[in-house]
Amino acid sequence: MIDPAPAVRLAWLRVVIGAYALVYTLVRLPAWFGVLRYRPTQFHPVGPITLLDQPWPDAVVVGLVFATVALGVAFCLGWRFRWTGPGFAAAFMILLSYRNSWGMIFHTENLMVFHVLVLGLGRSADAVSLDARVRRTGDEPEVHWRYGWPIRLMCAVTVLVYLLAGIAKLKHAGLAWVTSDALLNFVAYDNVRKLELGAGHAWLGGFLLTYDELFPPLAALSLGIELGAPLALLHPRIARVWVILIWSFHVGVLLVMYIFFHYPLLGFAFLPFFAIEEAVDRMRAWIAARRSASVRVA
Amino acid sequence: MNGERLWAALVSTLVLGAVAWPAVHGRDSFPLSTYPMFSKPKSATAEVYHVVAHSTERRHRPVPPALVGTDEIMQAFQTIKIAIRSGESDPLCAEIAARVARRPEYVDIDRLEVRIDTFDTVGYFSGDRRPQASEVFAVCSVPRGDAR
Repeated sequence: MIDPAPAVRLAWLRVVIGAYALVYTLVRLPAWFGVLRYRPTQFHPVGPITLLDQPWPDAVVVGLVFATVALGVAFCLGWRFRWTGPGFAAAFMILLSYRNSWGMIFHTENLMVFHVLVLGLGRSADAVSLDARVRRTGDEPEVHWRYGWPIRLMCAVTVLVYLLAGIAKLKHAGLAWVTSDALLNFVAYDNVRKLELGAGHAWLGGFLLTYDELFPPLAALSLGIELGAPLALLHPRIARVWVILIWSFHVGVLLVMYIFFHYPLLGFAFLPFFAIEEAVDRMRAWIAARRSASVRVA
Repeated sequence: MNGERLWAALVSTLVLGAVAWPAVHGRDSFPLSTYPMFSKPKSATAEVYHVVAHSTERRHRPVPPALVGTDEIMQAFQTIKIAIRSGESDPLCAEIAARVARRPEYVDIDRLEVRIDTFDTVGYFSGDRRPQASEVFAVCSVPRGDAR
């Protein structure tokens, strides 16, 4: 059974995660247009792009980027969401898939794509949207399971992604991933590669390599957090503990390997585990209190 | 089951099934992935595909990703790897050399090498930064016109 949720919770998730995806699309404009410079031999299509035999003409890529931005704005505003919701989800997925079709798959983007997809396929614009204003009848949208299932699905996808990452480690290395030098070698390998590619590296990672006894416990902890991810679906308190643990794991990855998993590190990946509308209400109350205080001073 | 429940069940099943599918299928892609990062055991050596800039002042250094044509470290790595594997090291070298020639901070660079160097990864951080093995796939001069 899916618990009911308020329409505003799903709506705020749409606004915040949609805005994040939109800003990401804008910030990464150089990357989307950068593919226009790549050699055709670099083209290794992935996901939906495997339908293509060759890269798109430049005009199609440029058109896709602008369409994604336009649909993203509509998605955040909740304007004609029945079309723009799935539309943005599809355009965003195709754009990122195209970008990932040039020899390097960026695993930092998968979860964000799934969350946007679920939001786009749910009734995420029944509140806090232009659509809701047009339809306004005086009654606020109700608390209903139809707003609960997309949130629950986003949580399930989040834990599944981490569970799969844990299973992949066991599949490829077994328990030796914990008991051997696997993690130490990863940290060393990744930092050497960065330095020898003329890029920044994680100073802390290089420093810790002299303390090799640290790595098996760190490996056990990170594997445990990944394999234990499904527990987060059992109870909100367990979810909060798991979110803190997995976020700390990403901080660790940043510090020792200089890999920035932006979506989870900035907290957006874990918003579906929380009552985001309560945070919005508290923020509104705080702003109102500050305003009234400044009026009294004046 | 009404239409709305059917839709919720359909989307949930398809999304979760799709996300889990690569674990069965075993092929990494996007957005469906096996999440292979950090999973396949690495040896204590690293093969690094990179471009090394040779300095007239003996300040040889790796060429950064921006000059390889991307702002992403891993994309730069893959660009060089694919060029080597597809026999396109020479044109890649020439492209990068043209970019190097335009950058004032690389005025001491006279040639580039597209190469694979093998390093002892742990020893690297104890001070042994010399490659254990090297293969050079392309060498090119940095074009210096009248500007130099």
